[in-house]
Amino acid sequence: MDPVAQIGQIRKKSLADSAILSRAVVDSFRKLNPRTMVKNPVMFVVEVGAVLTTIQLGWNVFHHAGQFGFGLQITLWLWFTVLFANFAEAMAEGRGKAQADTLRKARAETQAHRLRSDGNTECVASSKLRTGDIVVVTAGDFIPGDGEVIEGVASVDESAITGESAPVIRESGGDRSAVTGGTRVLSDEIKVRITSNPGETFLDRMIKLVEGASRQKTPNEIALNILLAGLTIIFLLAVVTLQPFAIYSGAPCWSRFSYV
Amino acid sequence: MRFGIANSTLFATVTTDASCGAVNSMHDSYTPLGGMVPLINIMLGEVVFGGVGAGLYGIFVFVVLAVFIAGLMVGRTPEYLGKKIESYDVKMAMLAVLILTFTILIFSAVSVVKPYGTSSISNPGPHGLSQILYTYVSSTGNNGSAFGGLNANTMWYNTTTAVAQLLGRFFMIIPVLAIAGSLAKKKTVPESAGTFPVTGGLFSGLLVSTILIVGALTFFPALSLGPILEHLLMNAGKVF
Repeated sequence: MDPVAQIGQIRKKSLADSAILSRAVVDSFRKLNPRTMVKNPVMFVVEVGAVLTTIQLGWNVFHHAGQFGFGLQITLWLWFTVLFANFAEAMAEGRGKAQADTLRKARAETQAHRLRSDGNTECVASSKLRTGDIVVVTAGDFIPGDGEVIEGVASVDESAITGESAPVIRESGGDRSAVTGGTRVLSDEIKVRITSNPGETFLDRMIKLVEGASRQKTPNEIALNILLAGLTIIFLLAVVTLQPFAIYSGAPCWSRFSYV
Repeated sequence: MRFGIANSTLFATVTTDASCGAVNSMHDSYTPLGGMVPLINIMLGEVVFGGVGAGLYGIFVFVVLAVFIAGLMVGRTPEYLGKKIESYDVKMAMLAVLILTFTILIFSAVSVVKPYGTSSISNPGPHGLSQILYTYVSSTGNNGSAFGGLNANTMWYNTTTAVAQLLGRFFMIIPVLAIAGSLAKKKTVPESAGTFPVTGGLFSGLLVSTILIVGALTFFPALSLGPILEHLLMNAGKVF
């Protein structure tokens, strides 16, 4: 499949892609691991609560104490909350990964016509290109990597990168000489000097961005986490102190194993 | 009941809405729900008038939180009076709210289960819980009024209410001063079309709901076993 169609397809990937979906379901259980959960303090507290209510539910069943239906309902709600949060996160990650895979495939399949010192061209994979290599790109070809036009004028379809559907003119000299890997030459022939090594191209950076490996939390996200963690502590305090108040109010002793 | 019901309740409401400890009647002698109103007023941080005197920092904490939440709702970096509200400010505001909650709830919880706490109660049952709650709410919340009815002149209450005052007053002021310092250092952002106006009804509503939600989240469980339960029992013909 040609890379432009592939890149175009990324945008069309539907929310309910079955492969991503089933993977996300598995991941949402795998993320229950406390070591992963602790990175998100609020959901970690919910998970701890879910484990505690489950233990207490088992205790109640074993000792025929408390109200089974009520305990079961609370337990299910808590587990559902944790699992759904994990699922939503796994979905976002899965979609990011799928997009990155498609982009990577598009990059790997592009062939380049490298200009040898004797004036002939040789066919190499675009991933073999190094800074300073000179490639010839003719009408219909993909530009194999980021570079600078050193000879010729061509109209280039940059829609894969910029979204602009009308072709743009790229020519040697001046400030319209830069071309990006993954775009397509529509007419004429140009010679391009490659200016980036594999792993540093625009496309590579785009892949990294989509994969989210190096994504940092925005300042507002951090502040929101602090707010939510604070509210969680407040609510924990309210619930924990409810027990002494209940003891004072004369709640029967077994109640601590049925109403938590 | 020297001043009659209307004057007494008005005074009680006003004195607990501001950080004023004067009373002209014993709040202990009110009906359960009547006694709950002064209790709630202080629990919310004595901010009903928008904070009088030093009470200004009480409402300021909630303003910071409300501005932050409003900013996130519209997807903009929140700002107040031209200053950006960032994670440090939110952290300090949360700390101030937490200290209030922590002091009141922990001290009350210990007092209701230990003999040295419960022995001071003059009316058993839910009313006793109200008495203990009021003691710590008033001393932590910088109010100073007494519910009456609780013998607070014991080793336990003298010590713990002193600690509660210390925490509720100074450990509240420290985070607020930290916010003030961090805001003063920031550059003023010029007002733009996207700035959330903090003078309109929308923001007022948001601020009020922030205060009520935080307050309800914190104290409703305790109140339900105190004044609310007492009210229900009173209607059922049981008085303490």
